[in-house]
Amino acid sequence: MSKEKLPPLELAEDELVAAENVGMSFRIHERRYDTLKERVVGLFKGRKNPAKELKVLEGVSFRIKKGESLGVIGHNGAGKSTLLRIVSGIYKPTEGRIATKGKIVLLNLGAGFDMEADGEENIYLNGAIMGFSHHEMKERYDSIVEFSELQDFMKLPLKNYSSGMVSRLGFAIAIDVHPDLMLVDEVLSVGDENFRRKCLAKIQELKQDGVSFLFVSHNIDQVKQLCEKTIWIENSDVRGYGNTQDVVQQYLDYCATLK
Amino acid sequence: MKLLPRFLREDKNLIFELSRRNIKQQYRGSILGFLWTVLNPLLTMLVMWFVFQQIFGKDGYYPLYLLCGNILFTALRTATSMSVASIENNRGLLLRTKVSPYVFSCSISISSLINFFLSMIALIPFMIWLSIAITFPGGVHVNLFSYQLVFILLMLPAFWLFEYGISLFLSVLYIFFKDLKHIWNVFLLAWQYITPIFYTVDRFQANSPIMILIKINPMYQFVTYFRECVYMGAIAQNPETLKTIVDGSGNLLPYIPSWGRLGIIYACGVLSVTIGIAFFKILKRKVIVHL
Repeated sequence: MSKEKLPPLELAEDELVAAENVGMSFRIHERRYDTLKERVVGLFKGRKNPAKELKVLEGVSFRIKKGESLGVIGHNGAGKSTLLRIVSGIYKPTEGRIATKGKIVLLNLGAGFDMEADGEENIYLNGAIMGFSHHEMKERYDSIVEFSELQDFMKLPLKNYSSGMVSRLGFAIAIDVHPDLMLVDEVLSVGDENFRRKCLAKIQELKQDGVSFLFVSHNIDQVKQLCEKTIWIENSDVRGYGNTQDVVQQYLDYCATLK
Repeated sequence: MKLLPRFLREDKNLIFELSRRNIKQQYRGSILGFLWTVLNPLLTMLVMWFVFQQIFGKDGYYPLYLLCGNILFTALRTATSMSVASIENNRGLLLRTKVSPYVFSCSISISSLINFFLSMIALIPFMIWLSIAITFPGGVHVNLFSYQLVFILLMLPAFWLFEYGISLFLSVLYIFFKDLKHIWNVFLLAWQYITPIFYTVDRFQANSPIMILIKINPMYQFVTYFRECVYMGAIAQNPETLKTIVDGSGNLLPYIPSWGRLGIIYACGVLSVTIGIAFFKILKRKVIVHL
């Protein structure tokens, strides 16, 4: 497979993300050798272990302008989370080009949490993961605690929190960072109704302040509410991209044919 | 701050926070954690002393000799074996946030170095006790606290680089070989035996194969330098042995741990960390995809 080296993608002044023909594939071996022992045994037995390419995502192109939000819809396993990982820079795409600008935060409730540590320590740890110093987080500490409504639990290890409380803390930390682009993966399906509404309101508020969102959700209503544009991915392929109303309609029509 | 490489400037907060967490976790809510950092090397030393004193250590300094080798090798063992699975253990974090995998072994080696330092501070009471216990033929009490101890500080950065290089290398390799944990434990055992921890090297002939094996072992250099700071420094305080350190015209020379050896251990440290980082850079992309 020969690949020509493409020059990096140019971003327009008001753009945060530009993706062009982005694709991701993994090399999957028939057998997965995880230990040295298995490898040596495999070598002696002369087993063949052919690899095949597994395409997880193909030909994804989109652009996100400052203040604009993009919804990502599709069934489970379609490649939505992979797309999120590519935009956040965790994965490098194996095909195509992507360029990003500004502070990008992946809102993942509880990803950076240490269950043994208490709430306070976790706030600092999470802040550090997003690149903030201890001192900077100290300034944000009060507003984070206030938003999470967990004032009384800060000295308690996270393992004693309920899952709802963990998400509340995670959301409160991420929301306080004021990124340019926030990647949101299915987070608003957790927590109680009250807090979910509070989160949605906060997201709306940030949106008005000019924060962009890349919003992965199964909740079509939320996507409609928040995103100007939507991309629909099904079986690693892009089925639709454009105006949210249109794409959502296509998606719903497709879902109807499945039943 | 501009002096730091870009990746370190970006990740210094996280490394700081992770090291802090490691230390806090160890000493959480009890002085027992701290007590163990102190007691562990002391008890190990006592066991070894009991077993080996007849063979190797007739003189009063032998416990100190044991202790030096022990705490240094324990620091290496703890840091590396804790780091082996460090990338794998933080799988969830790596797949969900943009964190570079090298920070985990980095913070582990930092916290292990702090532990090493703490365990040395804790040895002060032991050294006081030993100072009183050792009396020389002339009836002179020996002072084990010497200014040579300060040279330990010069050694620490080199030791950290050494530890970190190995830890990083192992944590990357572990992603591909999950049985590395067991292999590494066996390797550490072998390594421990070719490092003069309880035995003294003067029993071997200068160019015998075993001596060559010991000498190409970087830990030999580290342990020997560490001993030069603590053990040799103490011996140099002793009026009986002090006489031997004189220059050509018969003047007393202050004993200084070998500069040449310090150079060697820095070379070992830099080499180790270079290999570790190079290995990490080559496989960096594969690591994330392979998780």
